[in-house]
Amino acid sequence: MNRIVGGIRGGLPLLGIGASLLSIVWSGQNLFYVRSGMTVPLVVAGVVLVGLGLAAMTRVAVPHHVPKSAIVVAIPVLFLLVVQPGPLSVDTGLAYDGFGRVPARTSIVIPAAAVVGVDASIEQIGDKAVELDPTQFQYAAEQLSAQFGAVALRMIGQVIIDSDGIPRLVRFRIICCAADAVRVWVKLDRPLEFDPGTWVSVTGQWDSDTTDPGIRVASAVEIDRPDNPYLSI
Amino acid sequence: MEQNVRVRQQFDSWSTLFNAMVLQAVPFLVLGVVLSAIVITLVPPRVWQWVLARPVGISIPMAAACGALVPGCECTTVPVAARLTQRGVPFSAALSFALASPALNPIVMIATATAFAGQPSMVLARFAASFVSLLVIGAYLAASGIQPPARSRHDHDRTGTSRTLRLVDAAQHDLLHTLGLVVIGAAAAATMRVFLPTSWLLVLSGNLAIAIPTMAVLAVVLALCSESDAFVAASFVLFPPTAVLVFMVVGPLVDIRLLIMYRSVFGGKVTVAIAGFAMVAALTSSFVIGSVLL
Repeated sequence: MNRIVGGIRGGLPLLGIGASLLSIVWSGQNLFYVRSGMTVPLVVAGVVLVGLGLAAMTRVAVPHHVPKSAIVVAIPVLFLLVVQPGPLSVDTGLAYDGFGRVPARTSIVIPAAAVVGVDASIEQIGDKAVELDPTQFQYAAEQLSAQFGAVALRMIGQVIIDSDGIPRLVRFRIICCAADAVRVWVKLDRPLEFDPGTWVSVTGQWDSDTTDPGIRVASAVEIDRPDNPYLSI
Repeated sequence: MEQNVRVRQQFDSWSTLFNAMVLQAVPFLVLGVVLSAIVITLVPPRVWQWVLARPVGISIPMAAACGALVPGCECTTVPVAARLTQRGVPFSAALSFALASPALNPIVMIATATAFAGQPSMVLARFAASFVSLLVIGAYLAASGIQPPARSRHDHDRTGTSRTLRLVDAAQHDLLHTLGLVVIGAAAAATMRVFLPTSWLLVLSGNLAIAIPTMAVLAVVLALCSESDAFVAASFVLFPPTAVLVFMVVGPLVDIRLLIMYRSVFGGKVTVAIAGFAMVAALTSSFVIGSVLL
């Protein structure tokens, strides 16, 4: 194979995928697809791939054979740099995304100020609320029981009406990447005036249900999608 | 109109999952390829032969035990096994080593212990069933004499060039040969995730005889990373524990991405032999060990 052609054919796929990895980390969109702990491995892999690609294209080390399958590397380059899909959303067409309730393994710290009593006003709840995610909420409902009912809390997530007609606040929890996402959710005591999939911040208190813990909603406002939309362990 | 929305949602999901699987796999693939490039260029063949080229009764357990100490992903399995074989290590020991890394490494066991907190028997069962499966696969490969085809004409003799250049050459070669396969595997797995109506599979969870093959099929088509599969397995709360164990033991040995890589590097016959026997070994060991421990 001509060394110039070989260098380009072998170098372009490596350079393309390496540059895509670095670009996606630079834009922060890697958090739409994989956990934050993968950021450094992505950068290292990107640098290695770019280096190997440049070595081929500058003919320092030219691959002797480039398989035809290397051409399909153009597909992830296209999807990472051009299509740029967003993170998983509750209104996606995913056929399987796990179950609403998964084993709660977490820890929480609830400041004394957040214990406002069960008859607290909407203003008190809004001022004193502690930020919890659905996994922490489920854990607290199981572990703290009675005391948890007096806590003011705030939670963000996407709103959805489930197949049983119950309004819920949903987050996706991932371990490695979006492919292992599992939905974690809490029920809401009333439907909210938002389209399914809207990101909202809800304040309220636990409804004392330990089987399917829910929130008595005090207030709810629409928010922007967070930079890191997934919960992770 | 509603159909268009549905198609759009499915496309969005597919492309998100595809990107996720590619981004998750590529760093591990690069790690595996660099490691295997080091194997081929920097470590003298006599070292590997001293470690692994021993009688089958010793080499396969030793290979599985050594592999268990190396945190790796399914994506490293095929290039590492291929390079070890090229270095004179028997194929049976090389594949046992490479499969043990994603199946048994400490991170996978810690993840399993976390996902199944309060159920140490599940961790023990996973380790035991996976280890036994690896021994059986290795013994089968050794007894049957199955070998991958000789390396292709594309492996050139680079004797005389610098070690760095040989390392770069080996890394380029392996990455160009495996990156495309990872992409195809990710596309296949994402397609399964989005379009396979798995909801009906969950209905089958009540009967052990049906639940076990169901979970084996799910492990193959979902193609999860071994470091995350325990958390997904833990969410299958309706399935019998033995079927959940099957899901975790089968996945690191046989899944869509691995099948595509096996097929490309080792050829069709070897792939059928490895995949078929690995599936039987994983199902049998999981069933027996799960029945005793869970």
